[in-house]
Amino acid sequence: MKERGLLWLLFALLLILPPFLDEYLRHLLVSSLTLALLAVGWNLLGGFAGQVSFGHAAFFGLGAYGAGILSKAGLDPWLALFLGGGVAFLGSVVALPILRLHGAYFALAMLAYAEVLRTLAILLEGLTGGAAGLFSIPGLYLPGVDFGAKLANLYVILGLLLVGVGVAFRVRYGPLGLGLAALGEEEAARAGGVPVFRLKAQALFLSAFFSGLAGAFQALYIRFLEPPYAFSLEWSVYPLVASFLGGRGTVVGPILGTLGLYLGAELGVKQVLERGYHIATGALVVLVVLFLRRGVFGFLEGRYAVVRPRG
Amino acid sequence: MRRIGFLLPLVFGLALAQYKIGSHLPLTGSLSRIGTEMANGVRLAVEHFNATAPFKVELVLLDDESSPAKAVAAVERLVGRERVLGVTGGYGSNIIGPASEVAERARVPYITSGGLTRDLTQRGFRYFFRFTNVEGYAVVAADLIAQGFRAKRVALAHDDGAGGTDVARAVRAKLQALGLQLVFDSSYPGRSTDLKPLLEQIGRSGAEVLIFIGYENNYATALRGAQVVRPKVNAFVGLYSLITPSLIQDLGPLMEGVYGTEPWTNGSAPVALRAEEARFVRDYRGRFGQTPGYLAALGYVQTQILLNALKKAVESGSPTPEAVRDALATSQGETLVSAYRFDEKGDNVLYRTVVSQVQKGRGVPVWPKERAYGRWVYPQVPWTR
Amino acid sequence: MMELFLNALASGLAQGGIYALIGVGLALIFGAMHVVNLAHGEVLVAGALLAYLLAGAGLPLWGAILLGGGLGGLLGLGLYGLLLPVRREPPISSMVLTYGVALVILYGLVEAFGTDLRNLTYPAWVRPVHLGPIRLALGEIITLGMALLAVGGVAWFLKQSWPGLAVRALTQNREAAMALGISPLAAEALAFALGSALAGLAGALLVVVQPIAPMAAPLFTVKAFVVVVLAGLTSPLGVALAGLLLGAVEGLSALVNPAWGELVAFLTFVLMLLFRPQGLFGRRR
Repeated sequence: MKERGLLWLLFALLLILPPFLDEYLRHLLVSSLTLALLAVGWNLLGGFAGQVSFGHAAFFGLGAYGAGILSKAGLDPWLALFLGGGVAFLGSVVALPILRLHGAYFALAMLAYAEVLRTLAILLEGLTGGAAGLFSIPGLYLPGVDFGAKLANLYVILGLLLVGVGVAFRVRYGPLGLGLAALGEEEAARAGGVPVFRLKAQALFLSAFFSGLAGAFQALYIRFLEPPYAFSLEWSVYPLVASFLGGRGTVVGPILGTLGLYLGAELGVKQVLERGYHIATGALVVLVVLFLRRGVFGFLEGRYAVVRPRG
Repeated sequence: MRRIGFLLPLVFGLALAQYKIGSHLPLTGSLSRIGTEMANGVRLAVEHFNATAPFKVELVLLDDESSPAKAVAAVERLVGRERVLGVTGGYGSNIIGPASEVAERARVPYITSGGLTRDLTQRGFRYFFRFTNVEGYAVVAADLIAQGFRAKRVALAHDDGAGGTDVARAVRAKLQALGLQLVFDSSYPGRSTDLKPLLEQIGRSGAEVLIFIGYENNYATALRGAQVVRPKVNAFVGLYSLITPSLIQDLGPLMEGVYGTEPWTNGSAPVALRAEEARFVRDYRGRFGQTPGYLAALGYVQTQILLNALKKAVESGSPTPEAVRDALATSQGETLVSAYRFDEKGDNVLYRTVVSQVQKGRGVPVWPKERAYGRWVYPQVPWTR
Repeated sequence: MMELFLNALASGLAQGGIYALIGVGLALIFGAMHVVNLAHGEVLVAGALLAYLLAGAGLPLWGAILLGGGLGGLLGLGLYGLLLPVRREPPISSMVLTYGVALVILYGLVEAFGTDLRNLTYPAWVRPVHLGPIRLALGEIITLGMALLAVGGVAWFLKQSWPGLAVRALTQNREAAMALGISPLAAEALAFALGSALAGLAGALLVVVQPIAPMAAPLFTVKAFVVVVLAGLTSPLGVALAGLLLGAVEGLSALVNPAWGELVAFLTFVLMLLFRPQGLFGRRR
């Protein structure tokens, strides 16, 4: 399966290169890999299960605050990292009823969910620090390892991404994936005995966990949180656009889309168009939707996809 | 021979630009207006320095897009690839925090005047220097109210963000130290689009003076709401970033008579520096086509300080970031904006701002007396009572 | 206490007028095409900035406001044109496309005008008006009036004019409308243009009473959706009512903390979608 080969190559590169890069590039990689993990998480639901969410900032933010609050409370940061993902998972359990909705309604309901959480983060001051935010969150720590520098963090997020990709692979090409693909014809699937809701729920839980993991990592990396940042629309839109551009039905698509967008903007477009590269992003999105219906890496979908993604 | 002689300094001049300083500012994003003005001040400082110094300094200016993550990336690039000897810049405490951390790890001095929160100087950093601080604002404002207005009852309203809460804390302490009575003391949500209920309560509190802390949109909302509610106070004193060209232009008569702190405005420099101030204003106008505001002055002054420290380090024979840091730690003097001397935490303990009153559509420095250009009018508010 | 309450409510209703406008605009677009238009807020800001510039340049205020609405209409037509090729695609494609356009508009405006807050201040409009215990700025009352007038105009248009009737028919039953010979393209274009014109108008009105920054655009988009979902598929008057309701909730919550108002609004939004998808006033499909 060529997609697997591409992924191994990517990870090998990301494993070998960092010691040769300077801090600036390493920081860019950490930021973009965090987004990539978020995108992979999003795609589990939005690509594989066909439920496009416009509010994954909810899970990202839950993970971030979960990890941030626990770490500040004195818990071991590594534990806080994974528990952050757990908090996001719990958040998805709460959001389960929303899964009954479809299409635009589901997308918007998820957006509203993220906004609800954002306002709660502001109001529950005692827990979250309110509008002023959380400062000086204790970051990841290992004796002898310098987590102030970027290298260690890079390998951590790479490891997390590896796990996420592994799970995504299992989902995509395993029984869950086949079941989800059947959702392309939902009525027929139901009639055929496919437990539609249960499958979608599984996708939701996994999606939320990994998106939350990305948020948790971000909180322990930047070590500062405030509600408009943790639940920013950015975290909802970026994975959507990146997966869309990279190819929603694949595992590698969201990663390539994210890296392409982020690094392309930072290292490429920004050097030329000092300001206004957002305009370029917007224009790119419009062009891709109009002319490259299946995404820039759509050939991956076309050639390597075992099952078609649901529209 | 003469022709070559003419060229030589030029060639050497170019070759000698081996000293670099870096700057990161929000040139795009939500803080772009602030960032671009500050950047102009920074650029002018470098140009003035290069005109008279025996060596040339190159400025590497990067856009941090008003984002903490991008600021970290910018400073990484400055201390890593560009190998700057010092960093000047940053605006917004939540951006300066992570950005200066990078400089600290790389052992490169970082000087800023864009973040007032206390914890920036509580981190035990050796390479962090801050030109402005909250005390400088609080002391001057409190003095004006106590000794200038001779008022006794004060109302305090601040936005609930980290910056506003911090400044309010300092103001509160100073007011209480001066024996003034806080008859109203509350925060308001920074995103409010309607402050009339708040102003209503202030009006009923019996306060003589209202101290209002917030950002531009808060001032606009408050001053508009005050036209409707007309609270019975004698003065509206805003703290940072109230007297700005855009607010004066947009709000017009709604600003007449309000007080705001301005680190600098044309004419507020200490008498001994008036000539330098005139040169700053003239060259800024010529170079950028507009009148400088206090943001430009801050960018200019903090960069000046950094460059003077750099000069000391070069002249002492060791042009390293460490030497620049040491020079900064021991430097002191007077600038257009304020006197300066840094304590062991990097805080400028001599920082004092200036309070101006909007009179006939312009900010006129009125306090403290040594920096005053005009006389304050009290009581006065832009609404009829 | 009562006075405080009434005043907060009044301020909220004034804001609600704007929500009514953008809600009705979005309802037109969504009803006719089932497109999640993520650029709605950006159109509002564009209208606001145009009005600000024109008024600043000396144009009479009413002219500036109307032209702001006009710009909205033009942008709506442009957006519709871009959406034509993706009509047959699943809705997600249209949604993403409008997002791309929103980015271009938003950052294009920021590039051209900066991120500054803009605000028109006319001394006459800032003056307080007393209605019993209630004190509002004259401008707030005028914008509320204008907004409701515009909504009324749209309602009349949809009921009493042929093009309006076509749009309504399309919204209610697409197949039947087409069977009757109504050209969906023309009707959809009209809905889009009209809906966006209302957004531009809302922005132009808003800039006279409130400081507006371009970066606030996405917030308005989201609020418009809340109004539309709250109201359900119903007449413009129903949507307007939902807009006023949202404004009232926000205004009252300002007494405590605006975050409460937002919380209530979004929570209601989600609960509506889950348990009463036809909204407050719509009919079950």
